[in-house]
Amino acid sequence: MPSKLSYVGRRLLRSIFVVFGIMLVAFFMLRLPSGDVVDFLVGDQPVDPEYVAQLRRKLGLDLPVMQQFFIYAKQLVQFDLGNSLRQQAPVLDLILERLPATLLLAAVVMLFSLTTGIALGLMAARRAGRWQDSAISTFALLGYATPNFWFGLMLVLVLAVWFPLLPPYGMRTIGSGASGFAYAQDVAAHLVLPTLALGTHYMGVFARITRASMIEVADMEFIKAARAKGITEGQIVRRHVLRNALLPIVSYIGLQAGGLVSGTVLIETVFAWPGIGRLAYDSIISRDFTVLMGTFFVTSVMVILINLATDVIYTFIDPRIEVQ
Amino acid sequence: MRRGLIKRIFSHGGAAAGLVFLTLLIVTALVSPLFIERSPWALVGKPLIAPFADGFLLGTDMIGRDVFAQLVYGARFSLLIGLLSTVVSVGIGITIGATAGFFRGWIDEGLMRVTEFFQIIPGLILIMVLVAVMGASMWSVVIGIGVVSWPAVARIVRSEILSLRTRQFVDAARVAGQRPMTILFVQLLPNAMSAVIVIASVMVAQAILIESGLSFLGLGDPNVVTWGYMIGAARPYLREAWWLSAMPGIAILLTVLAINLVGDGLTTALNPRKARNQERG
Repeated sequence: MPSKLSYVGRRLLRSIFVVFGIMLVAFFMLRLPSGDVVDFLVGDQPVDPEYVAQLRRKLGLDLPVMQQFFIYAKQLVQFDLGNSLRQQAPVLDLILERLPATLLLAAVVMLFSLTTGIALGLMAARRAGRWQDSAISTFALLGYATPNFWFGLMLVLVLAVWFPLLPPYGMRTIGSGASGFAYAQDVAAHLVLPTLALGTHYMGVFARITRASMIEVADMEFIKAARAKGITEGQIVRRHVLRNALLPIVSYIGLQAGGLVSGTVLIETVFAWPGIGRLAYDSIISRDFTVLMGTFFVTSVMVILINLATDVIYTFIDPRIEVQ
Repeated sequence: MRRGLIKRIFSHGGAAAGLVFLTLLIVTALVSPLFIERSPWALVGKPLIAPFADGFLLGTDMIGRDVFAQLVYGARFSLLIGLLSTVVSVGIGITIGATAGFFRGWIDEGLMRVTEFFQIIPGLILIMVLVAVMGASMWSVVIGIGVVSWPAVARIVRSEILSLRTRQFVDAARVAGQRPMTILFVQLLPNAMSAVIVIASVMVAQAILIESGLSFLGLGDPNVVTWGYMIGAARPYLREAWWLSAMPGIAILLTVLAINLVGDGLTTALNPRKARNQERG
């Protein structure tokens, strides 16, 4: 047990280091030699140089770089992401307002792709080499090659325009005034298309990993030993193969968290889903740099926390670590 | 080894199909200016002409530009951006991976933390930030994609170098008096290349997907036609002219699929042992 705890401690330290890295990247991105935040703000419009100088002073860009960094770091540690340059509101409030929608979408996508992906992978492994296996592999390959935003548009076309079965965009029906169960049902209906658009890719990925890992583990010595002991095939699969085969999936969830957040930027834009991906996009269009950097910082920290969590879970469920 | 490479790729059915498709696509992209004289931005007819009507192979878009010409020019720039950004990320990846694997110790530790950092952060948002700061141009997109895509290369080069350096031929070179740097460039890196080629092929596909997403959002280079841009521009006309969005998406799908199939074929051809393991498990 102490070795596990010290591992978790080391992992936590590493995460803190990575957060510091993000702070550095975010800080210097605002001060690139090719142009700082003020150039970005004013864009190509002709502006009074006095106004530009005033803006620089207001944003503290006239101070020495080290001093700027200390101010910036101090603010971040206090969860102060500054104020929106376009709306009269703190960046953190804007992000917190949008966060639940993104978390809901991401969680549903993960749940959907994990359950269907693992189920498909188990089926492919059991029927390895047969047509079901090739069909699932082809599906996974197609899922990988399809741009998710385009797939989303095609889903809208077929399931909302040609056959109007599902709502094409948004998170709830505007002005429906539904509450309680009817409200949940309404949100669920709005979730279907974005979840399919974003989740199909991961479903394919999880199916591939599950298949590969099931076949690999089933070939190992300890499974042969279990079989020799006379345990039934069903018990071998459930108690020994599955438990070991699902380990790579846990670490993969962590690795894919960043990709998932990136995916929500596109999918939230396609489906007008009111999350932080959409906020990041809007902030670029309106040249609201502090909001853009805020979403970058918050989503990065989120992804690091997910990685930390999957790593910790991994150490506690990996049977090989128990032996030591 | 090298002589049978093409033959071995062709022994893999899907890879052969992918290679044929890619060759056709690249040839079309290269010779397109010869048979399509007008710029893909030129207005050539009425808006929203359906495919196969009025002498336009694939019809016209919402303001009357030739969709076929746009698709062909889209192939040019989508492929070009995919290739260039892979060159950037392979360059960064080899430099970081080789430095980490060669020097080991605290340099390795530090560089691997940096690699980990770039591997887990949300890549697309970082690219959006970079492109926004540098201004939207083909080069800022290439650099943006390159800067977030290198960690996989760095990890592979590092692990290849760590395992190669314990091999006997490296000991032999050391005994023969070769200097460490010579060993790195003459003995270690060339032997790590086949692994890099395999991953680079898949990264081109990945880069095309990222670029299409950026252009779809309208954040790509405003002066070039790419497939992602076409999907984004046609999106408001999804109800009236769905094919305008459908066609460039199919082009992306087929291209990425073809590159991945060739990548699988390359894995089999360059690294038969690993490929067997993959097929088995």
